[in-house]
Amino acid sequence: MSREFASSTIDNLALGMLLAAIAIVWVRTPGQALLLFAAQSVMLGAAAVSAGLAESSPHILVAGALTLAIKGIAAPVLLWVVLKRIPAGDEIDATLGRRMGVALAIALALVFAQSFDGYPFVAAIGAQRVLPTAVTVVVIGLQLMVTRRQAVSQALGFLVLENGMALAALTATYGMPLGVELGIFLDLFLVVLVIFVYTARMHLIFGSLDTDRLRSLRG
Amino acid sequence: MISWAVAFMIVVPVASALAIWGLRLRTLAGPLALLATIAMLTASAPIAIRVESEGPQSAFRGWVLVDSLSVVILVLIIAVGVCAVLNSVSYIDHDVAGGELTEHDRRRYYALLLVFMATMVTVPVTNNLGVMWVAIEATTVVSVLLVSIYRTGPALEAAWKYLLIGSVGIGLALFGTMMTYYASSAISGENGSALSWTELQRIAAQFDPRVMRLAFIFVVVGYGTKAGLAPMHTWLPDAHSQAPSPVSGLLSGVLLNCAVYAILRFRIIAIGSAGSQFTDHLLIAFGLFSIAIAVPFLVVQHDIKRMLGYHSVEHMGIIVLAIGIGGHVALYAAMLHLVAHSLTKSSLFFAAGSLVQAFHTRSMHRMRGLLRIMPVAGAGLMLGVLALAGLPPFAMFTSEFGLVSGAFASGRGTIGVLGAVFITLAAISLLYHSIEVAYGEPRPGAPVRRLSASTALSVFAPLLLLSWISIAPPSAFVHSIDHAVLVLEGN
Repeated sequence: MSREFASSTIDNLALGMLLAAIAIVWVRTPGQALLLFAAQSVMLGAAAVSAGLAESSPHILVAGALTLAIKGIAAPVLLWVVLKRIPAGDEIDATLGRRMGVALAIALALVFAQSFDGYPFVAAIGAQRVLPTAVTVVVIGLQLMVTRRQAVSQALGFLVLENGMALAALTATYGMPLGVELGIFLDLFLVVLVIFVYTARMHLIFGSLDTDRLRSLRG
Repeated sequence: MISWAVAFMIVVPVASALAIWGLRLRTLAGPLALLATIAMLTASAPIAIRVESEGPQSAFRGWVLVDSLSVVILVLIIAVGVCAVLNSVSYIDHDVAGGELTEHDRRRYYALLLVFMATMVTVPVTNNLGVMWVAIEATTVVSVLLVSIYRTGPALEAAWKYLLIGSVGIGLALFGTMMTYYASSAISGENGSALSWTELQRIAAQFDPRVMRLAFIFVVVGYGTKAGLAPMHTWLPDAHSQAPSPVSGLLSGVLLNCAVYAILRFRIIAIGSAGSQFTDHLLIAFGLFSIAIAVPFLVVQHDIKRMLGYHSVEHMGIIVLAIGIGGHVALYAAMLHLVAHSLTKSSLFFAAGSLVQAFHTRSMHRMRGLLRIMPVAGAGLMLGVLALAGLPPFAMFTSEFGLVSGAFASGRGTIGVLGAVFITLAAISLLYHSIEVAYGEPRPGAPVRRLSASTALSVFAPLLLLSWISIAPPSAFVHSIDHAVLVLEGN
């Protein structure tokens, strides 16, 4: 794969990831959000694979494969299992309405596209729009975590944020050295496992995943 | 030799954890964990001696590097770890006997505690900022499971907040690490050594200062979340109060240090690239804000463990403020404060744990007349309180005095005075609450419960160490702190 082709592919995939993030803010059920997240992770993995092919670097290919396995398959499947167990309350409960949420996300995207504009980074792969896009994905993830009340949606916000970070790391420096990268994936996988255990326990103790029940510790 | 000792310190606790889990140990789990931590302490001794006599030691092809700063953090982790395991023995027995924990939970507890120790020990000995990040994130995952070991709603709430806020924070720190890597790989190419902090420190002057400034902001906000700096501290009082008390002692006493340590390493690189003014201002702002924000929460606090948690926010603020003020005196004060805080706060949490178990509440309103009904625990608690309040002759008096005089010496007198005012307010509220607990009229039906020998030892051993370094500090201690300060100054 030529570098030019790879960089335009990555630019487009980054745009796709941003659209997926905005769509996650938009959709009505956690199940749909989960599917969109899986799609976003697959795009991230594909971006890593194209960078790896363009640079013929096995280490980036390994990172891409791990992204597909952990973020594209393992995490969505685990969260899907949690959602399956909880039949009621499938509606997404947010402290911010869907329309306002999407408006905020789009506004954030525009602000970052304007203000970031390459400063002070030059992406290693030569893709131009990726870095502001990645930062926007990070901030939309944060927005999801803050405005969502349902535990799985909050966790999803964290994973979206993590995807944004990974995209930024991939394009700025082709990710970290392989040893460190493996450690990062291991940690992420463990976090997802703990989220899985906790959401299950939350359902057991409170009978729901509404984090509004987590309000006993104050002051 | 160094490589053996370092490998030993990480392999032994992990292997012991596997043994406790795999062999389904019951009453033997505690003693085995104690043995493992004592073995770690033994292995750390030759490392400390080597480093102090011959300078920084590296091993495993440069992946491991131990200098005087690492030694201070490392020895503290293990020393407090030994006390925490010692404290756990009676504590966990009590909860298993009372039905709050099962035999299965006991195994899980000791296994996690040992893995937690291994992850913390990795932080100060690695020479790679990426590995350090992986280790610190691993401490989050493991300690979160320890926080939620009681399967109650509040414990789950605390653990959930800790996991999500901690992971976001640490994610930002990864972004900062990535930017540092970006800055360095522009100079030295993309290879493993582009993340080794000795290498980074060497070539920092050539980094783009704009990138490095941005990286440092992300690092301070990210690792600052883990260190409990305000306004990212909201998870800390929850997690530290809901965890089993020996774990609270570890979280407050040494895990916070690991996060501060990470900031210190990045600070050296950021100063090399962008100068000290920027890093100083950032650290002063976070430090001062953390001290100030803790005060109102301390005044109205009745939950003894939450109170200690908010004091951790305050004291991490003091350490970061002293580092921001800079100069030899203030940096020395910061390191001394870090050591004193670890010893004091862990002892206080261990003592508080016995009180909570005896009174079946964390409310200080219900714990009255402690010196009369539980004299040993009461004496330990009060000694710790006096030390934490920064009264002479304890080391925190010296370090807080050093902070203020260092502030005047570097022309930041106003900041020093402001810091001193907040610190005094926090100390007064601590003394007010504790004097009620110690000398108040015991409530009818108050429990009379003796501390077990191992618990008493875990409470008093850190206080004895603290008194030693406060009143007649051995020259080896003074030298190692001095050397750590030299590292902080970039030598």
